[in-house]
Amino acid sequence: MPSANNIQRFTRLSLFVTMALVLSYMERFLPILPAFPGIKLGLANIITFIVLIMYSWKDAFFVLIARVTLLSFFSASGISFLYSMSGGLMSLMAMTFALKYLGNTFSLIGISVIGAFMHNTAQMLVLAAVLRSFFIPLSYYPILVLSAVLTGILTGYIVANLHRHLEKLGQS
Amino acid sequence: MNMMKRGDYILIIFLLLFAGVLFLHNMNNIQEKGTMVEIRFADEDPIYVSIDQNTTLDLSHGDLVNILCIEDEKVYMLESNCRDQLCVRRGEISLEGESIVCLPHRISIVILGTDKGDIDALSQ
Amino acid sequence: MGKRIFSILILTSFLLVSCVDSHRSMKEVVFVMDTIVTLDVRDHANEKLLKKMTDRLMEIDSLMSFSKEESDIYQVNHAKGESVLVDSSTYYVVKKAVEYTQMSGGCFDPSIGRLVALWGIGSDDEHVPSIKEIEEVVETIGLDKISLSEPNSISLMDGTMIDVGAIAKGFAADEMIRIAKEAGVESAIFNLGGNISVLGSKGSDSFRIGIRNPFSESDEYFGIVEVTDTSVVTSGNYERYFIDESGVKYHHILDPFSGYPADNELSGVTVICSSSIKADAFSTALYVMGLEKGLAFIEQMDDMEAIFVTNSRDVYLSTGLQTSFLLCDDSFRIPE
Repeated sequence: MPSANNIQRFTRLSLFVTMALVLSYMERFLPILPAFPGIKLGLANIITFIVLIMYSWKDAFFVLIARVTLLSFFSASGISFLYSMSGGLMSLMAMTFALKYLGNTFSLIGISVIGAFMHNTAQMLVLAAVLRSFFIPLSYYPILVLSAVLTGILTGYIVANLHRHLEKLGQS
Repeated sequence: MNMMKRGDYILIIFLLLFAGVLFLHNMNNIQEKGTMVEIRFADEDPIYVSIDQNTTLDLSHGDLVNILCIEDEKVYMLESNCRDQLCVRRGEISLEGESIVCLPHRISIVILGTDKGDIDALSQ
Repeated sequence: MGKRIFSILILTSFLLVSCVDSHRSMKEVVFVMDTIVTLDVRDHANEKLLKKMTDRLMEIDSLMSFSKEESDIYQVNHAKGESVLVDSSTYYVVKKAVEYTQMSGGCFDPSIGRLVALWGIGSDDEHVPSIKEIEEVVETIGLDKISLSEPNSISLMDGTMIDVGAIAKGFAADEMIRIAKEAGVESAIFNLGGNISVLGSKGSDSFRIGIRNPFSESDEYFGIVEVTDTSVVTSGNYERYFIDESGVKYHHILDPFSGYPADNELSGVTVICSSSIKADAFSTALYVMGLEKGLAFIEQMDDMEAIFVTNSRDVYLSTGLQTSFLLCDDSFRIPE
């Protein structure tokens, strides 16, 4: 018999996965910068991060895996799956670690920037492995780092505000 | 807004500097007009084409369609049936170090210069 | 290039990937076999290995030199028809030379020793011999003048001399590769006076070997081949030559049939083959054959590729080279 707790958790996670999927999908309709292919806002990371903060890394892990896997069903090749998965996992690992041990040094925005930076670094390494060359990935890397800072601040800012409001809701 | 901590600012400044240094370093390679186009498909040996010939290259492998154009010393992906179309939207490249990547089809195109000191030995 | 390595270094240190001492590389330049030899061992290098290599080069030189009196080749050439017991390496090289003579239909022939000495190209005594002298000496050329008997005995018909100088360099290059491999080296590049041999690759990249522009006085190249685990050898009319009073140029690649420098449309031939001794013999043989016969010949060989450059700056490639050759000089062209 599943406990009420389990059912609640399952429902909650499904809800988060759905939200993450919608955000990922929506992002495709945003204009891209043709000179910098592969640069994205990474709005779905908002969900991963908020789950990580409010629940546990296990839940965040589940949401991440489910989102990337499901998204790969209705789009994309094996390589972009590998690309999203490696970035997502690396970013989650870094954020979990930062949240636990560096919580005093960095705010949620800082931790989000760390996550975005590790996300893009992992993607660069996958790109290098796929292309068997460091030259192209390395020429993209500065742009990837810059975009990680910007998108990291943006998602961090959203998450921090969201978190504040959710906490208030929880208290009242 | 009082949300950010000192650590955040240090981190952001550090990363921006890191990106800046890498960018400046890469800039040394980019600038000049390239002379050669290096085309790689997955693990296969690269193919080289001179940039000053006007030509259309069919890089298709099986169902994966990619058509590359070299025109007036500019290179662009004319057509691809990949999902993301990033390679086509990348537009024209012409400078040394610039690249077009079609990740779903594992194709990469880089423009090279002819650095005369670029060989390992001279056979004579 | 250095910048690329620098950035990869940043990256690796950033990822905390540490290096191990098997990555130690060493470079050595020696003057041996009348040429400059560069040994570039890119991993697993140590003084002992480099010493072993240079010792082997000296040994090959002292066995196969045409002019040194103590060499096996000198002994064989001056035995007046007697059989001479030689070192197994010398025997191997002469045996290979005979094999390549048969394969090339005599376009490469080691028994041209007296012809080489007669012209003296590259020596103090270079001159155009008389027609009578040449006719006499051509008579001494031919495989039937050499007899080999196992193990390691060589005899020549009295009056014939063999010169294995050209392919001894190829043999030496093969020996360098063998010694490096035995020591566990995975990447190395050896340059024996323009005969290049490479072991493995440069990390994920191939070695880039420039092919000498035959019309340039300096070390310029008109194209690049990208290679791994092979040897690249070029023969050209620019290497050693002299110009007589009437302005005619005589180069060092002698045609064993006519007795004169090979006179055809070619300026240079490059052969790419995993065996350097073979590449050495056939860069000469193909040059003597000329463009048409040479191209037809190389297409039949599945272990060799070749690049032909004509006097009119046309570049012809064997089919296996179409993707790995890079033309980088506009004044040359590859005809359709």
